[in-house]
Amino acid sequence: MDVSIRDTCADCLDVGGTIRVNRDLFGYIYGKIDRDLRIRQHIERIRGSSINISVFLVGHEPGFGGWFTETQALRAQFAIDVMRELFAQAGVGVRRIYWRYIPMDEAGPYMSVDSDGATDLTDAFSGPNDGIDVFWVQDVSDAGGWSNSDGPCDKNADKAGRTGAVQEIEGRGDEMTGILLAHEVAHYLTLTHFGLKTNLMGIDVDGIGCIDTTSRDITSDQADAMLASCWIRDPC
Amino acid sequence: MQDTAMDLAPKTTELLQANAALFGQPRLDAQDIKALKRRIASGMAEDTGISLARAIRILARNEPSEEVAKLLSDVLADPASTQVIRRRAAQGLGAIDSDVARDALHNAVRDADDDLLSAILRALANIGNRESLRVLDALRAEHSQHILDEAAFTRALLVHKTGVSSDDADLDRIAPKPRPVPLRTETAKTLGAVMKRLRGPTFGLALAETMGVSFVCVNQRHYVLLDKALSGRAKMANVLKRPQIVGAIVADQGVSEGIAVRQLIFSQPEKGGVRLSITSLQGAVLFLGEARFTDAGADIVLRDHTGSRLPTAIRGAVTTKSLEIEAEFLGGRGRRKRHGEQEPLVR
Repeated sequence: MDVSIRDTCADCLDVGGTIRVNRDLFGYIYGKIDRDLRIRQHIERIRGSSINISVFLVGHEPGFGGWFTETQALRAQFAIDVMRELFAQAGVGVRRIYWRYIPMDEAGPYMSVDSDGATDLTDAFSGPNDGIDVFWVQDVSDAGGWSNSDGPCDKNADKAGRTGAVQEIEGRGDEMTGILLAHEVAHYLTLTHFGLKTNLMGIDVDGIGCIDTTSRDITSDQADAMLASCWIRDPC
Repeated sequence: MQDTAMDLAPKTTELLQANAALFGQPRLDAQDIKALKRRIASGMAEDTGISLARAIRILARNEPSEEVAKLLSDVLADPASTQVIRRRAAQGLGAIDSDVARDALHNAVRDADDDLLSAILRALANIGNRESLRVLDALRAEHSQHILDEAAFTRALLVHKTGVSSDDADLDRIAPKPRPVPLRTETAKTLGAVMKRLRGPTFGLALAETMGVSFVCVNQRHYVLLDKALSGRAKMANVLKRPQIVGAIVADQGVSEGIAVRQLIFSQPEKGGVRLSITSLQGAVLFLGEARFTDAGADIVLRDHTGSRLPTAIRGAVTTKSLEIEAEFLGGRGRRKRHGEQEPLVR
């Protein structure tokens, strides 16, 4: 079924008026990314079962007067697009992106975080409650990122624990940053580590492992688990 | 040129690839540890494809020795190292409880910028000693507020850890002393004037003019008033046998707006007394507590339920003739979730 860009923006994204595809349909507000964006495919994905994400740039100021550089903001968009591609295997779209930032005067303790710092960050901040929170920090000192497996459905609940994924924006290429983002958000959507490095959830059998640019697969069981998460929004 | 990966096991080399993400805490064998030390000592270049930052973290966890502390001290002191590498060296030193590690961290405090200093302070929180307190005393005030806050916390932590005597400020940071909330017992005359200016819904309450206390919050005087049923002759325990609205907090909103009910005080019977709550008119629970009956009336205890920035506790006694309340700010800042700022590029 053909559905127009305008209808999709109105039905799924609450956007009307003059539509700019990159900004309004894809949600890439910081400019174009160096990826092939397919409009029809994207519309099909986000009209189906989808998640929303609240993306926090930690230590950002409009106009890039904070820690975040324009290159990093573009990398964040690139990573989201990689995640969209990977989650499409599971029939999970990434529909809305709520862009938020934590200004410099509040971001001080979170320039470099470890696992405790990541929990503290998600305890201190949260975005709209219908989107999974993704915090981009400059440096995660003891991993590439942190997330919960099966993250709480109400981020504002008392003692909800870690209520988002926290990931470093520096240190890896754009593609790998996207795979790592998809990995962390997939944790939030209930997935745990797997046994094959080519799987998005990666990890070797001895419990110590890593993912790399080959870690892209999602099994049908994993897809079912993701789609059963409370974070999945109905088709629009 | 020697291949940096040649002397590391293939699995270790894989885990250290810069463009990968590592999970778990790998345990290295003696040969890998030796190889990592050599590579870090020689300033392993990032262009080998191996993450030096990750190598430092793994090495410090695998061998928290004096030798590794010396190695990381050199990395921390090397101004040619990147900020991430120096931070990681400070973090690694924070896992090694040795004088070498402490000295390195102390020496780095003076010239560290905020980002590095944050890592040093967290490291000293773990392994610092009395000498660390002297180093922190010399910290300059021109650092950003969050660094000064982190330094104050590290100081307070070390004061408690080392048992060294210190001024109250350090102790107060970990366990802030409560401060009394200024409350005023109002006269019947004042309360009568309040009732005359009361506007808007009172939710069926018949508020007593004979007893009440007031306090100032956000520049508005608030009055705690109880329902007349509680000031009558009937025993309070009998009055409160069913869920009731027992009172209200009304606020003076200025000459033009008058005085209006802002919060309601509810009671529900439970074993041995009643459960109390104070809610906003929108239903948000602001205080929770209980009342226990005495011969004279009831003793009440309520505690802030909002995570407010000024968490407050209330204690008091109610009789048929009087309402006596004490309240105190519990100190420190409560923590309420923040939501960041919306990027203005969003439509």
